[in-house]
Amino acid sequence: MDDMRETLLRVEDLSVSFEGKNFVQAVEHVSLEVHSGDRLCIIGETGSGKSILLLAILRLLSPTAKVTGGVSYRGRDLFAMTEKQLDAIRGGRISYVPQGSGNGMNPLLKVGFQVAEPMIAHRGMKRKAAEERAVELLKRFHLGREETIARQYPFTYSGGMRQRALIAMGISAGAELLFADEPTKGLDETRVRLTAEAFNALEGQTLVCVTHDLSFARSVSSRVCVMYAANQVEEAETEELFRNPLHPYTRDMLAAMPENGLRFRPGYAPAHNDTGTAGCKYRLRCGRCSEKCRETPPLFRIGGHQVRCWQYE
Amino acid sequence: MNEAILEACGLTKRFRSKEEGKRSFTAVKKASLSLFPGETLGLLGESGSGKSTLGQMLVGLIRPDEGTILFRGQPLAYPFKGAPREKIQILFQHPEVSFNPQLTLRQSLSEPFRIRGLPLSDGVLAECISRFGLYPEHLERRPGALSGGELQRAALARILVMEPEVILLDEPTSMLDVITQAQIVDFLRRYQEERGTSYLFITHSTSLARQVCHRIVRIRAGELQEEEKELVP
Repeated sequence: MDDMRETLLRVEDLSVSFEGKNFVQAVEHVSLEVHSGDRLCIIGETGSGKSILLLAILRLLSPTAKVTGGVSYRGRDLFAMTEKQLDAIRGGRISYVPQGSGNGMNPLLKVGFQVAEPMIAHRGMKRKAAEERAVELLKRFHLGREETIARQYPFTYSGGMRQRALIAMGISAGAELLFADEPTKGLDETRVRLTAEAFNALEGQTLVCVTHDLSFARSVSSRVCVMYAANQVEEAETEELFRNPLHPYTRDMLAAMPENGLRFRPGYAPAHNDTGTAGCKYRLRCGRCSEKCRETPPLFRIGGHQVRCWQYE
Repeated sequence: MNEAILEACGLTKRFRSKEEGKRSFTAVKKASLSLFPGETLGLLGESGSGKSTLGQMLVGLIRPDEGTILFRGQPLAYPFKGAPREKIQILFQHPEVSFNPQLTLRQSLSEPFRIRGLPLSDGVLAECISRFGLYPEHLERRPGALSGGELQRAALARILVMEPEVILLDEPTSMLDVITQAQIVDFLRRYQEERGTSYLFITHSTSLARQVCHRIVRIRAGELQEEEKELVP
């Protein structure tokens, strides 16, 4: 399908491994394209490589990580940039809301200032104006008593409030591309709904969100990429993926949702250093595997889906 | 009628405000409940409703300001000692902080064996974790090198060494993916059928509670509500 919208981010054949005593293959041959206005959710279980993928794109991984492949933002190669060039993009153009509402903020600075800081650093705003704008942003996320709480420290916030304040911080500089890592982890149903509303109220921003919460992914995204054991196994438009999942892992994941009866197939993802499981990583758990699955399947295009499974050859 | 294994009678917990002149905050108000052998009782509430505070009083992690806790009909004094301390276990919401970050999984998992004076060997430890899909190579890792799902399964393996009669499950799957959640829930269900263990299942997810619990009570602003019979099939 030809997409006329602008390509903001192109990830090509990205792999990440951690060498050393414990070899870990965290991400394997992932390719993604994010267009302006997209709302992409990356879903999958813990340890499937979703968070590492985001960090690798932003070049925020430690030097022990071995990253191969390419990432370009608006046609510019992020991996070839100097740190200084990169700093002009990170924060100002692409912002990142880290995982864990507890440690994403500086405990020694007032929340209002922290939400204002990206506007001061990247948009050249004066502190007073930026802090006033920060209060407006907090209001958009319905934190309540915003003028007062903007002058408070993060510890006075509940987890759900901090999470929404972090998103406010993430969008404050007007970055066109917002990365969010597990923004709903540990929040209760009401707070998950408020976070979804906050995302859905974003205008003109492109979202790439990592989550393990399927209902949340469904409520905020237009497209979903499913990861399993460092591999991208399926990608499709959100409603299509939930109505008509193709990859056996995606099907099993949907069947395991509480509202679908918590049904599951026994087995676990292979260990990260398991280089012995050649071929499809899901084959040891899959109900439909064949001899062919000992070879790694490519991504097949079926209708609007991309799916890494030999059934669709 | 069966006798309750764990009972709360009028438990109240107040937290003093750090700021002077501010009144104390009552997290749990006169909560009474009974947990029977072999049942899963769901405690459903939003964040801040007091469900974790109530749970933590019931397993002896925090001291109640008022009320009593009975284990097999006997009142318990804080801190718990002896059998109640061993037989009442807890599985926390955050697996990544349930383990000492400086110890390898082998060291952390050896602890309950030592406490109970059970023989310890590589084979015993490997068996302890293998039913949770963990491999011997995991034993040499520290918590930082394991995923949340792996750690939560290891945490469950660790508490089961104590052969608990009551397990407090404090949002045990809210940080996990759906398949790991379904696996842990299924394992707990089979373990309960086999051993008659009782669970107090704390959650904010109505859909999960509905699938897992025999009875459900809701807690709002520290007060227990009527049992919600229509939620359970």
